[in-house]
Amino acid sequence: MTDVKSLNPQLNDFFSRQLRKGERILWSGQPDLSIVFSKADIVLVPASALWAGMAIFFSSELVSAARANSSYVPLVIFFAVPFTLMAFHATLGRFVLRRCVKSRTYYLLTDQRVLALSRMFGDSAHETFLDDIDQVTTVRTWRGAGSLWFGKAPGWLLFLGTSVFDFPNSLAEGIGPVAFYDLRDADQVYSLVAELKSK
Amino acid sequence: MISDLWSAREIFRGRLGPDEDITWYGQPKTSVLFNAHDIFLIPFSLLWGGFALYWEGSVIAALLRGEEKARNGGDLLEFSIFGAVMVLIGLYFVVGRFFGKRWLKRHTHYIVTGERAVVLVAVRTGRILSLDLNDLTALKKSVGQDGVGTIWLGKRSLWTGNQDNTGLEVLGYFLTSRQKPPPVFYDIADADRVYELINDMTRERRNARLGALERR
Repeated sequence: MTDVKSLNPQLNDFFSRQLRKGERILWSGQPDLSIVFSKADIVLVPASALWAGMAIFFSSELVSAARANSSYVPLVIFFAVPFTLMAFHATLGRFVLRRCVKSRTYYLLTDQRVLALSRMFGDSAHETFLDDIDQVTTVRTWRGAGSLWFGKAPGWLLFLGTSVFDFPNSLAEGIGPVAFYDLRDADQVYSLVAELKSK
Repeated sequence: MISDLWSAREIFRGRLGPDEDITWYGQPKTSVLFNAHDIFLIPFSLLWGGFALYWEGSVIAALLRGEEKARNGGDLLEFSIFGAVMVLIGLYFVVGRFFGKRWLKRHTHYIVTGERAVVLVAVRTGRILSLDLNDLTALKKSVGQDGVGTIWLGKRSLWTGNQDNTGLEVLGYFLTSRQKPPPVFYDIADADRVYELINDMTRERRNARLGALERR
């Protein structure tokens, strides 16, 4: 099983600050960084490529028009530049951001709770107590990895998977239950949670 | 702290149960201006404001030249009125919303009692949003280096809360009749401690309830 504590001892302090009195960490992990795509990318990659194509065509037309007639310059500033920037984020930028968020995300399973921690923008924690978990949903992602949602999650959230990290203000901020994304050892974590809940 | 609780009792007078006592009271810090939504809102508002100014400037310049009709035959006076509205919206979007946010924060009060977590927006008759601690199943916090942070008391839906704590909700505040759940404690000092307090109280209540059920 992945144990980020053993990989990075500096995290010990961060983790111990999250724990309640007497609480013990039974498992810790991180999303697998080698998994680049989410299931939603089946739709998002072609859609973003289409967007980028349109943005480049539209922007180049506007830039040509602005060269010939300076009254088109504001249209370049207010439309062509933002559309091109959005297209850049949709095609490439979001994968860089996703990787960045994933690398700063940590998951803890304790004898009382499941916690998804992030050190991306300040410290954030999303948690739920084991006895509050009414269902655990598992979704296979890529190359044998899996994601777990600890509670009832809407279908679109399951489909988006790690695509929720594509926005700096996280689309899923406060939405849906605690989730562990792209775990290599999703099955073991699932079994461990089931075992803890049965006690 | 004692004086804080004392003033909280005054603010929440008549809004709490007879035996309900306030354990913690706080207000959002007005010094925190930005949140994660501003990553989108600031560039978008600048684009909106910039384009509205460009539009209005072009129309006014044409009017000053004595023109009455645009190239497409539209009435320039009507265009200027439309542009003025867009400029006003843009101004609120770029600058005004930060004043709106500050104003709303000054009127917002948060408490935790032995039974509930409560948000009161004390504008006009006041609007209250509360959550029974027994119903609290998913807590989320986001805390900065200075200890100021936000606590979400439950899951929000995709369609609510996107404009919260941005200053844009001030406009919606006068249009909608109620606040949208879940309660959120925005930009409170010592957020880690409050988070733990709520967690502890929730667990205590849960354990007491389970104990009572087992004894039956």
